[in-house]
Amino acid sequence: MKSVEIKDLTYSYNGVDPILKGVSLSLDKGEYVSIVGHNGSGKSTLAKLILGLLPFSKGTIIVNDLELNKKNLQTIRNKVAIVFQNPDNQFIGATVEDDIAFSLENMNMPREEMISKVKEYASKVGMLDYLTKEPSYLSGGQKQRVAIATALVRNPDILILDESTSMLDPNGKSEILSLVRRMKIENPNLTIISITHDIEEAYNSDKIILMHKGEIVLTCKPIELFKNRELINKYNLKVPFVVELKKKLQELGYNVTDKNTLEELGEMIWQSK
Amino acid sequence: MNNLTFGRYVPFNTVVHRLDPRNKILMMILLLVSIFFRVSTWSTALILTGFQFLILIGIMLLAHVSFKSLFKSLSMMWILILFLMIIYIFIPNPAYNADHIAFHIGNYAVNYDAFVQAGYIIFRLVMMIMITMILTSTTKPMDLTYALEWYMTPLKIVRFPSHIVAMTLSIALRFIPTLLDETQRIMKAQSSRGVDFNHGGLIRRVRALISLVIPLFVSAISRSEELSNAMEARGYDPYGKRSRYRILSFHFVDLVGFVFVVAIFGAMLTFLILDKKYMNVDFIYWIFHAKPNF
Amino acid sequence: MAIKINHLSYVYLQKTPNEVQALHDISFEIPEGKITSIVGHTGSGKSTLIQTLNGLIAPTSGSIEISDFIVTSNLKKLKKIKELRKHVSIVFQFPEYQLFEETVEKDVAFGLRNYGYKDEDAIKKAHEALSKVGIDKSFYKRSPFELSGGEKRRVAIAGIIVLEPDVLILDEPTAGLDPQGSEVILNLIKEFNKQGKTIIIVTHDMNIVLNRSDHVVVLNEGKLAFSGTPSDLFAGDVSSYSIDIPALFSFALLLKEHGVGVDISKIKNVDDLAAQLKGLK
Repeated sequence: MKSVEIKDLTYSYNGVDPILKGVSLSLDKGEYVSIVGHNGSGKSTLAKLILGLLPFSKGTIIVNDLELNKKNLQTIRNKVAIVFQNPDNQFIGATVEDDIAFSLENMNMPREEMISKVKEYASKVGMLDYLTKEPSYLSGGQKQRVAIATALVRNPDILILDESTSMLDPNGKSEILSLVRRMKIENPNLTIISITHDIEEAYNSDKIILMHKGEIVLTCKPIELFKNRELINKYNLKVPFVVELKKKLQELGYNVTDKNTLEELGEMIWQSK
Repeated sequence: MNNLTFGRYVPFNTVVHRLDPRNKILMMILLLVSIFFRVSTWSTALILTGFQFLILIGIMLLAHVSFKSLFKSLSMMWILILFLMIIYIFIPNPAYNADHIAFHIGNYAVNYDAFVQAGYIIFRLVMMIMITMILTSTTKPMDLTYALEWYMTPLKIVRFPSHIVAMTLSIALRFIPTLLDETQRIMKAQSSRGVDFNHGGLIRRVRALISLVIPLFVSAISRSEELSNAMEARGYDPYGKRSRYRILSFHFVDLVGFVFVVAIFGAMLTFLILDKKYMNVDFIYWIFHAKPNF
Repeated sequence: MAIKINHLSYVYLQKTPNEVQALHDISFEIPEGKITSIVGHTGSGKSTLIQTLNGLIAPTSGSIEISDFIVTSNLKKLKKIKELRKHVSIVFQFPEYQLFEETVEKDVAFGLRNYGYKDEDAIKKAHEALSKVGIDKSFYKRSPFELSGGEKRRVAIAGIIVLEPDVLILDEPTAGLDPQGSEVILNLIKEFNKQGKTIIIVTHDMNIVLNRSDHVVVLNEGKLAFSGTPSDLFAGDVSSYSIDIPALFSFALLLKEHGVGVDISKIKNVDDLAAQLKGLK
């Protein structure tokens, strides 16, 4: 079953310069997809469009076989959740529990059910001890963990991470990435769309979508993108260290064709001596 | 972190903290009103205000409200106090007793009554501050908004969107610390460019202020945009049906507190009526001339 | 002359229940004319440290020596505080949030005008600063709010560079930028360093530490955890700090452990490694 299908989507803020130019894509249920590209390539706009946060005039978006329009808007929003970049600007409740509950209040969930859900999801993201804490007493990583709880508590089919780790320190970042991985194992049907500049994260996803100036340039397995020197140079992309190292070693005359990890490459070097 | 600690919620677990915020608001209003009961003579006024003052001190002790932060907030009132003094001293009032001359400034006779008037007003202002402080430092801002929303419920009949007002208020409250931090960050960034927020002439200061206000405004706008996206993405629909996580509940202790406050209010009222009828004592004359006329 | 930090301590909200000791008796030196990175988890005291360096906040105790300036707990004693801020300038995190003038050139000139420069001189110097950060002439008369994120940041940096500080401190200069935009900023920083400026970068990005820095200082819970070269840092035990060892470095270390004769102290990027391997072959 398709999770998200987009056909020929065009969008512009001012009606003149399009941010997205005829974007089409199709994602399977349970895929972990990374969208990469420079700032201004239209990645975040695409995410907002899927959530129906921006009105578009041309193209179609289909989520869970349901077309995005005024009538289906709330139904679709209940199935798609997003975690934004800035931990502060998405913390709506006064405390951790209020913030998680905000998502549920919007679904008009009975209070008793809410109380247990809030506890359940706070403990899933390791924030059970912080239920009554206000955001000013939390670190960026903790706030983003709460944001993930507020997203997942609505039981979405699709989770969008819009540069969710880019404002965090290395501890916070790895906290969030491992949390997302754990959630994915718990719920394999969850489709994850990660908009990211973190090339190592993209390298580990199922599929990579490269965007440039409002268009999708390439959709493929990560390894195929990073093998493609020409594209890497053309779009001035950063490559994962292992890919970069392979290239350098190849230039030095090593045979690296079937070596894909640092361990394999290392072994090759010290054995060749 | 910032220095503005006046009236900030302090998380203790006292009886006052546990009271229903709706009840607390009502109680505080009763106390506030009773402060402004005007009695005819100074002696009665002093007894009444003194009595109220002692009760407020008692509540502050009970609620662990810090006296230090009260003094701090009073220190910010110096200008107001000075202003009131000047007004009362230099604006002639026919009600002043012409016999109560304290001293002369040039040809102008300064009346004792002016000091007493000003002092009385200031004393009541201090009590007002005490009451608000008790309310805000024992009640979470969010609980206050819930209480306000509850009081606005009857307005729903005339289609007043009380829930939207409450949501707006609660978000404003939620973002005050964030914006204060932001203000400090921008001030520091501009100081790094040689801006001096504390010195310099008027024009320089205005320019310094502009360099703070515009960036703050720009960032607040972009924050609000992100915030509204985040709210919508999480399914918020201001006109949709929403359930409630927080509920307010009225306990026995609320009843006790309420009865207590009503009793005080009633006592004050009785005092007021009695005063009008029987106790016409010119306390001020007595204190300055030491010859009571009763 | 190096920047000397002597027994520096800082306590927030001293003598209140919310008292926090942000810096705890730290002493170290920041070498002159070099690029020094300051790293540490959020709340480790990095921001507090840089703000004491140019007198934005006064240390609770201890002192800092920068050229002729001595910053102590009594900032009032330091009459030339404005001069100090010109000598040691900070580019704060997300500096684009400090822009406010109606044109780019005016915004860059703003700092100079606070130091009493005449309008024409300030604008002239602003143009120089803008060209240093690679902002084209066609932008000078435009509103800073029309620019892209990366451009805004460069304009904001120009607004500091225009003061011609000898010590330039940058707090997370690449935060929120894409890899391409980060590269532009980092190259600018390198260029400033070449012109003789002492650079201090507060960062979470260990690749900046490895590739771009001569010296690194690690703060952990307000205490000095390390001060030395990046390779000494990564070769040591960093498990208790918020530090990811860059893949390049751990790979080089792995090779060394297996008897490959690489000199890990000289590896800053993958080309260095390749060159060394070539030499070994």
